[in-house]
Amino acid sequence: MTRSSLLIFISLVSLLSLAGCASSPERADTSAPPEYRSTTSVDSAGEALPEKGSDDFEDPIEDPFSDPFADDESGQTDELASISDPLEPINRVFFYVNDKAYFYFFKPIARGWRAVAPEPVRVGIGNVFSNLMGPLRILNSILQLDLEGAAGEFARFALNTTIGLLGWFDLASERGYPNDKEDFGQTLGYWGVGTGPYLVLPFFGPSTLRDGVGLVGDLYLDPVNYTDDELNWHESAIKAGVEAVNTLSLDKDTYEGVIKESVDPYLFMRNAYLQRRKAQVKK
Amino acid sequence: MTIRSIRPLNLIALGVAVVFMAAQAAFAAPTPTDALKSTIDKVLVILKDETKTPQQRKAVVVETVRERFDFTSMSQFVLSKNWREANDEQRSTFIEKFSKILENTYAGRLQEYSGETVKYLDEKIRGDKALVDTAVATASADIPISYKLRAEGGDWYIYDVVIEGISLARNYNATYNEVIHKEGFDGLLKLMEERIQSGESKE
Repeated sequence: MTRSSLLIFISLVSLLSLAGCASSPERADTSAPPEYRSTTSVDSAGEALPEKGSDDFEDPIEDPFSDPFADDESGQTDELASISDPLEPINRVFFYVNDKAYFYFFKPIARGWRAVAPEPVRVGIGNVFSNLMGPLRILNSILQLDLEGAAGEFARFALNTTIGLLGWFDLASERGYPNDKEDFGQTLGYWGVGTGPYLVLPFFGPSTLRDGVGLVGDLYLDPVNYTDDELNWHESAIKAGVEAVNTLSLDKDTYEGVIKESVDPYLFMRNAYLQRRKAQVKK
Repeated sequence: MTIRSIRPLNLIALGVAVVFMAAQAAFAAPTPTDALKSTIDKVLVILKDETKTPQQRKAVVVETVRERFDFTSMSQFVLSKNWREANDEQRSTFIEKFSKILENTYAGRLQEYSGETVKYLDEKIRGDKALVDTAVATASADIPISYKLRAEGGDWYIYDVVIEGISLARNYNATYNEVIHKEGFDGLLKLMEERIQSGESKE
């Protein structure tokens, strides 16, 4: 990692923070009605408005529905609606491309892999990949001032790498050191960087401008990259591909079952991704 | 009038009546976790039943789950503002189609069940609504699944499911409201019908 590329990265992040402050930040004051691209205004759950339904139909509760757990939850409807998707036409194209790549390329390979390798082997491999990301998770926890989380991730990494045989056995989860899955996108979110527009990246799938930069950030920050065994781009790509296939082989057709069945899979995935990221940043 | 002035027998009768009523109340009102657990336990037992075909298992699971789901509340939650502007016929059609879509989408996932256990972690109650946090222990990780329930008639019914931070109702809300905005309520109903037809033709 050269000094000039690091400089470029830092300027990207600063640019993003400025852009993020301009768009709706994660922890903005939600009392003011936000602007959204879609003109379907959705009332934030919790407001009681006069009922207009007819008396013939039994409304068991007041209208609109009030959800007292809306604040606990990751995604509030009005906040999510305010996340922009100005690139929707392009995003839909990439969504389509990824969809085809999934069905015609990755999933068949994953199925073949599933047939060849028994589950414990695939779980083990998945654990090794996960363990390799340990140092990065520790770093991101520290950057989010979560020292307890960092200590937990460190314990997890130490235990799994040594007694767990380089991460093959995930002993740490059973002993109360779960995988916190912190990444740089979440770190940026912690520090108030807004998500920016929704993006569908080729191959990587749903993302946002912030999380996309986060991906690049992780590449620079990953302590593993600074050891002597520095991977070149080809090797990184192959590593990512192998990990993707292995993970898919452990997955039980979630994508086909849930997202494809939806009335608009693109919207379904967009909302699911944004909700999930919100939840992860909050953790 | 003091306690001592009441006849002992009457006092005992009163005491028994109070204890009886308290027991009745406690018995008649399960906690949200109890209500959820009873349904989930039933479902898990059915899924492990080797004597039935997958079709039969699915039918029984669907029936069991329907008893615990409050589709009307969920539909109201999903449609939010559009619920208010829909007429009775549209509402009942939506509820019918939405429950069918949920059934098609998620009953299929249950076929993948392979002995995972469910842990009940936490319960919060606010008024007539409750939130129960659970986790499903799979081979690779624990999946956090939370259920939001609503009290009615002494029992609790599910109106939302949150998986890994993703609220189902909000997700369908975002998708469906966008469709209603572009194609109107009847356009949504038509699309839903198409999904149901294509879903069923696959079986």
